[in-house]
Amino acid sequence: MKGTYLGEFEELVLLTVAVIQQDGAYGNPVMLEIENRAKRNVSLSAVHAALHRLEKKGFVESYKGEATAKRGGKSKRLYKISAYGLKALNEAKDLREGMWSAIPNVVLDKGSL
Amino acid sequence: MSNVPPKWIIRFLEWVCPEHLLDEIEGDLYEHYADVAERKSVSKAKRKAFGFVLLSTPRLLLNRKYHQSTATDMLKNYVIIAFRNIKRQLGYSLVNIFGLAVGLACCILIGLYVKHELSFDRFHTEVENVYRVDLTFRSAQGEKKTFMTPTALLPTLKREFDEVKHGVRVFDVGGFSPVILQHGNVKYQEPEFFFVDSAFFDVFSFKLLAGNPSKCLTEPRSVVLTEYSANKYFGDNDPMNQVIKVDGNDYTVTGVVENTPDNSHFQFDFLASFSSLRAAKQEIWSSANYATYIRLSSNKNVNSIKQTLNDKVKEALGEGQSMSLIFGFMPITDIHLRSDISDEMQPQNSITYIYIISVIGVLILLIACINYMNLATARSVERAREVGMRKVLGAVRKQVFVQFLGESAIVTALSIIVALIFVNIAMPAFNSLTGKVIVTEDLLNTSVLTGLLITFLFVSFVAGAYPALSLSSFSPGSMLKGNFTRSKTGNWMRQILVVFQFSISIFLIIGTLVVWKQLDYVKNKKLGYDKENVIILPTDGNVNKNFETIVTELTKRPDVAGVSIASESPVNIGGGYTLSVPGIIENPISVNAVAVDKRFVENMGIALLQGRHFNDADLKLVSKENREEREYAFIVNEEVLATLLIDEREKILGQKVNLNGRQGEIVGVIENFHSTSFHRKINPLVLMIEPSQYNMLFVRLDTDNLQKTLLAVEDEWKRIVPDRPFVFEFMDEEYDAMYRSEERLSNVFTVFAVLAIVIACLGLFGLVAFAVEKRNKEIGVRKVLGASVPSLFFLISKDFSKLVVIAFVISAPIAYWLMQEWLADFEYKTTVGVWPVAISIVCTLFIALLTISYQSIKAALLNPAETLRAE
Repeated sequence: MKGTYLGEFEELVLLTVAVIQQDGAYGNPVMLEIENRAKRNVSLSAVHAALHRLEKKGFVESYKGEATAKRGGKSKRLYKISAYGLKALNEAKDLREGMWSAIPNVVLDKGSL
Repeated sequence: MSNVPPKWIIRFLEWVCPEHLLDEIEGDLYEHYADVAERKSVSKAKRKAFGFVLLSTPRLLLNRKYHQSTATDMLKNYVIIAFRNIKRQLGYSLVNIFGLAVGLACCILIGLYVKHELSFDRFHTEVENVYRVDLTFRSAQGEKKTFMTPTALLPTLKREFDEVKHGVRVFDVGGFSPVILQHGNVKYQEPEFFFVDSAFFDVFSFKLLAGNPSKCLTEPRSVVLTEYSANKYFGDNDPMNQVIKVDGNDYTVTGVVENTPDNSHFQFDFLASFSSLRAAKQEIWSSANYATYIRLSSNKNVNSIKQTLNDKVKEALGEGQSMSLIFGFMPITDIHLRSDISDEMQPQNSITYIYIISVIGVLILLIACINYMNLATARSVERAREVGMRKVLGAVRKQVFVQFLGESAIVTALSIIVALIFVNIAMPAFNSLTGKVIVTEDLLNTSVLTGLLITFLFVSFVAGAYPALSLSSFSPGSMLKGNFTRSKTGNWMRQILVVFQFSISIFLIIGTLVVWKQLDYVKNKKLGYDKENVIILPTDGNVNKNFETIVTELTKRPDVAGVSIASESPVNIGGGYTLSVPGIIENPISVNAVAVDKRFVENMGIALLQGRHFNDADLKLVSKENREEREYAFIVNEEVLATLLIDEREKILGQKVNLNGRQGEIVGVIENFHSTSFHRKINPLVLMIEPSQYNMLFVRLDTDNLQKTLLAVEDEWKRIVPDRPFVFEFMDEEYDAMYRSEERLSNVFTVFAVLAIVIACLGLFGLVAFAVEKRNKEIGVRKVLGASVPSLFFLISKDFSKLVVIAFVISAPIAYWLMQEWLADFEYKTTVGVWPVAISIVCTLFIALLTISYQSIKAALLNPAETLRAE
């Protein structure tokens, strides 16, 4: 495997895949979901690039989905998070939580002021 | 469906997108487009789609490259495997690449050299119409061909033949005695000074940088300089219309021409107008001193022109001549390599030499290719499993063949890169070896690069085809079962190739030794005169006038053994005359003759066999004002007697003879001495006294401190003849210069013989290593059973020594015969003899054994437990 580092945008995409994989996660819904939740503009090609990269790193798995007329008769490629991907997400979460808990209260208090 | 992306975007996407991603990407784009068009607007959707394609394209293209088809996948695999093999067997790969690189470097250098040699004189426009007229004197004694023609030739040609468009006579005054040029305080002796007709620039295409090409050589006393000589005399000043002194006379500079290209057979520094010469006003046939070049309108009728010319000349000269003149036309492009004239105006090369060096280059490259073939097939065991696996997985023979051919192409490509580095490193050494000026930039033109490409393809194929064929022929079943054995034919083939390599090496060694031997013979043979410790100084009328003063002043010094003067140096006497001997022979005989002073014979250490030396009375008799009353004394060599069939020397003394109109009698006989190169027989030679012909002064030194003596002589010289620069040459160096082409051949032979044997041994080294590896177990068992180290060494060395001996048996007779042929070119020669042959085999065997010994001793010393432990 190339690198197993999980970038910020990759993490976002990976999380989104995990969120919507029941309804079928592929380029367009992933993009819309991120746009809705993060309130930021995401291009479709960036989502594709991230998905392909994640697949190469082994964080997601893909399988062929159905074709619709709206897609010009092309079949979808659906993604779902792999066990390895889930583990990576967990590690990222743990890292963040660990660091959150390590922030001294004083800083947090000041931040709230 | 109305909301679909523009057609061109889809088509573009289909073009860039790899097959396996197309459905996903294209589908998503359709969907996205429809969404945006529905929620926002069609134009926004179009923009989005365009942006999508723009952003995705680079990534898709890269992806495509990665996974396209099996063909590129396999290609990638082949390259990876090739490099892995190079890395895994680094030692052998280095042997291969290094050997090939050395071979290629030789080839590239030789190629550049040959290319330059073949390019001589081709820079003239319509060069196929330019000829030089040569002249053959035919008489009862034989023929003599020269490039020198009479003054009457060119005017006759122009009058009689319309086809002769332009013509030019060239007089090499420097060939007789170098002229002295002076401008202000700058004064030099110039050997490359020529008088040429005004049509010079119509015949030749040298570029005139200043001056009018059709007029600059018309007026008497005009001179054209090359850039180089203009700079030498005038520095940064404009030389045009300046005055320069030529042997004391004022000449006007009327033009500046570019420096002579180094691939011109005719190298000049100065061109003066032919009209300055007295000879320009005469048309005579009787003396031939001028090279004649002509430009024809077309070269179709050369033969008929030649025929008509010779008929006309015969007519003009009348019948009853003992010697006939035959003119021929030599294309100017043939002069450098294909001329059969022994004394060219300036030294040229010979086509034989070009052939020899080209053949050597190809042989060296072949040796290097064979190394590759041998090592590649010897290592086939290691690749057998790979080939078997490939075949099982569906590779056909052609694919395996292509794979191995590709590997050899990779090795060749690496070798060429290394070779180019070697070429750059070896360039200065090569230039001094061959006397050429080849620079790195010469490599960068299309013909050289094409040549390199052809060499690359040729070597990849020659070196790669055999291993590829043999490796691809294995049957996968036996290979994978592990009981694969080397084929007998493969082994045979390798042995034949090793024999071939060593045959070439042995041939080159014998060649080298014979050339050395002959050169040694030439340099050490008794010449009949003493060429050591003599300096030669060119003279002019003024020096000749002061000759007696110079003799008296110089011989006062204890470190000067003698001074004399002559028309030519004894090293190479070329002046041709006819000698009539009434009462003994009917027709005159052709002889060489040289004008000398009374001390010459003694000073040169030439043995007087009979009669007397010249004396002052002889000088007085030939110096009479009235030509009719002059009486000459002649001293002849033994060869004259032999030609006249006279046995007793006394008989010739007092014999009345006539040498080209000089009446006189023979007063002495000298021993034959080598008055020309060893290529030619000693000619009949006549010595006479004739002060008007004196050209060269010889000072024999007898000193321990050469520098001091030379300085003293120079002081003396400057005092007596201040206008003449003290520029001298050593006689023994002049002698060595005659054999420069043999010297070069010997150097070239030496270098390439060494390279050939080094490359051959590199290959042998690799082969032995494999043979030993293969027989490791056998050696272990033998050792356990009590074999000694020497006997094991013998066991391994035997196989390879056998090959060297076979190579010797094949190549020694061929080399012997060929070198005999080469020696036949010399009139005076050594024999090939036993020694070169014996030395070659001993040398080769020794070097081969040395190469083998490292591996075989290592194997013989190995602890058998190590090799037998496995299994």
